[in-house]
Amino acid sequence: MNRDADADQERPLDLSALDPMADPAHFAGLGSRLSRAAAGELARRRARLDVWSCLAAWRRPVLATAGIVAVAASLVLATVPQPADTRTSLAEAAGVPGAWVQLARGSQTPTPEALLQLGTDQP
Amino acid sequence: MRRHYRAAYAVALSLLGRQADAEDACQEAWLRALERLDDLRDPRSFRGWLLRIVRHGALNLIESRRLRAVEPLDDERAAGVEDPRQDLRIVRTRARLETALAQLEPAPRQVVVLFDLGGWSHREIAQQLGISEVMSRQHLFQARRRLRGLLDPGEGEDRHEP
Repeated sequence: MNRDADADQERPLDLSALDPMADPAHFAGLGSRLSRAAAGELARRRARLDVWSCLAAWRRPVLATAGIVAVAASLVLATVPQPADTRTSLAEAAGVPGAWVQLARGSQTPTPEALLQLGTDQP
Repeated sequence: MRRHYRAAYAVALSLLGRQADAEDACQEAWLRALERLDDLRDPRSFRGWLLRIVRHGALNLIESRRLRAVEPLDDERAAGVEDPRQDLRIVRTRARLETALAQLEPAPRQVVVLFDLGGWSHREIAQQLGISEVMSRQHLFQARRRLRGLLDPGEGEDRHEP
């Protein structure tokens, strides 16, 4: 008797009445309810995905173009000869006469005559 | 979705004991999972990750005592019914099962739902519940015996055919 009772407990219980998938119409209703509830989040993810996919699509050509430009610029810089000294000092750019600059850079203190001479030389 | 839904539903039902609550918990879990999908590093671990969300959601439902009363026949079900008499029989059977499940201790209830409805193995149940496989078998044995007694006191067998 006990053995029969124990064997009986080996048989699974029929819980199919609690299974939402047992009724296809009910399960379809659950699916549509879930779809409606998730519509906002899905739309948000799609929009974000579009931005990223756009960036991803542009990434390769932009990187390739940048690489080509960098190589071309390097070649130009390497091949074009640079003049010995064509630099323009800040003082010259600001319109200060060259003689004044040389005097200022000099180690000796200018005499009043030299300063007068520079003043009369100005256009 | 179908495969993961079955597992998620089994976990929710094993904790909540009512179909309507389990379906609500599953829906909440799916939405939460969708929102946090970027947090999932390994897609292969989706099932375990989803089931953890379901479990947390179901436990929160229990704690907050927001469980709603069982509805005998909701609108969505009624809309899909082809044979009202058959549906009514299922509704009655479901109500009896839910009442019987509510009288079980949490651990045996979880085991019997996961095993007999979810189709889980004792190994999977043991991992999910943090118990041994032997304990899982014991809970299953006790739960089946108790449920059979509750559902059919005269014969001690399940006669609730859908």
